[in-house]
Amino acid sequence: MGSTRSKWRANQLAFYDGTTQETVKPIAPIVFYDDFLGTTTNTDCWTVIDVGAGSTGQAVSVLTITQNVAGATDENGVYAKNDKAFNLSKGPIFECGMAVSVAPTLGTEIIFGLMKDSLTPGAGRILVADELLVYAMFGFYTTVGAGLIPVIRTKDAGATSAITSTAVTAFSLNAYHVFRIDCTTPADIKFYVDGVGVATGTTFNVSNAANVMVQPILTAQKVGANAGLGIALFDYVKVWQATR
Amino acid sequence: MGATKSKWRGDQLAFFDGATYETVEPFAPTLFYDDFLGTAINGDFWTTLDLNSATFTVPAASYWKSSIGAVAENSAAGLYGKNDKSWNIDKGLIFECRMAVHTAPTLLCEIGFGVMNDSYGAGSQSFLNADEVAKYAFFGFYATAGAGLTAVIRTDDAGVDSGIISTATSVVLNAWHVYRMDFTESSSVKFYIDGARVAASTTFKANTTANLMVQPWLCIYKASDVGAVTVGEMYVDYVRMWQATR
Repeated sequence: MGSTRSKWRANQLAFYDGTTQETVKPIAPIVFYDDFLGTTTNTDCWTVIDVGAGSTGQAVSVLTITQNVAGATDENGVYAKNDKAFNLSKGPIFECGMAVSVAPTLGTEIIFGLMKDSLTPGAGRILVADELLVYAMFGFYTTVGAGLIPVIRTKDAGATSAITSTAVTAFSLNAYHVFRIDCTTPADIKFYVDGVGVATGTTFNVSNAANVMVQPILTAQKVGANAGLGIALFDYVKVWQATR
Repeated sequence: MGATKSKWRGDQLAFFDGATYETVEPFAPTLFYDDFLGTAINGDFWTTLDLNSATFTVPAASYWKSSIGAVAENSAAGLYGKNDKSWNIDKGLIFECRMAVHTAPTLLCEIGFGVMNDSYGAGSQSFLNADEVAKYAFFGFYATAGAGLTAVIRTDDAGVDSGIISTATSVVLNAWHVYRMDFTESSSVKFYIDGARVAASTTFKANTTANLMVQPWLCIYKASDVGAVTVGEMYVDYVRMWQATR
């Protein structure tokens, strides 16, 4: 059991689990939190993506996103109804607990984080193809660590980061990790895995436009006729923002 | 109004109301909280029981009611967690609710609330008059103890059955109390009413099976062989569950 600890991020207090580094209580004016309790995804907040033979299901406090073997476009997961409630210029922080249960193969990519785009089925990739316009996300795809080393990519209308490896040790299947994207400084947003800064040698800049509004997304997807696999497990999502 | 106070339970911080001992803010990674605000039950999380002549009344003024019908038949009313057992009693689970007895249960009517590993089975949820639930930890009220107004406890993990243990705490009709069960040590589950530990001389064991997954259960019910005059009604104000680790 992790002991409760606290930290000031910028000028704001947050309580976190000293072992897992999960932020258990951010003291912020806007906080969104879904622990995926119950067996029905909260569609007041989420739109469930259900394209192709894959699936998105919720049970035992886990959102499971499955890509099937069928050789066609397959896209599953959840996004926040295209309701972009978080402002990149006001310090949103995205955090989730996530595990890879089946590593992505072939054209499958697992991505999660924040995006300005509205979702267009079949055109939501950022790794195998760069189909979104403004986003900051973690991802997994087969090119890096056989799908078990998380990568980062960000993009705004002014700068696109390369696909940047977090360079962490390849994850074990089904092992949960805490992922955090801290947009306190949009010109230099920070990424963390289990509380440790990753890809710290890269400056991820999403400050090209002021007051860009974003929504969270958690998805696994592939496009076209390939037999890519992949299963992602999401335990919780928190998004909070330093000011309204 | 109670003063806000804080306490470390294990290594984790929680804020509580210094007068009622309600845990108002536990700092835990997994937290469920339903204050039953609004006028509908959250069906994403709860299954509502409204069986036969029992009556479940949807929330109003931030609490719900369930009562047993005065009909000689199996009946039950209350809530359970959709048989989705998301909570692991080996990971520091704590269950807390605020509840009042509105009409004391008579004959074979029982009020039960807590957590169980079982899935709901109609007509087989009696844990006081009959031990029909396999793995659970419940507070309860039934006619045998204090004419239905003395809270009792029973736990059973399929290895150790505590038997029915009185808390020696009697309640007044319509009086709200805060009930908490703390699984920080699954080999010795602790029970509290209004912040005071009850049945402290009994060791309630829930560790026969490791990583036992449970769901919440709050219900009033009776079996079909009960006389028509059976009555009982419970009110529930809130439910909180949190877990020290995921």
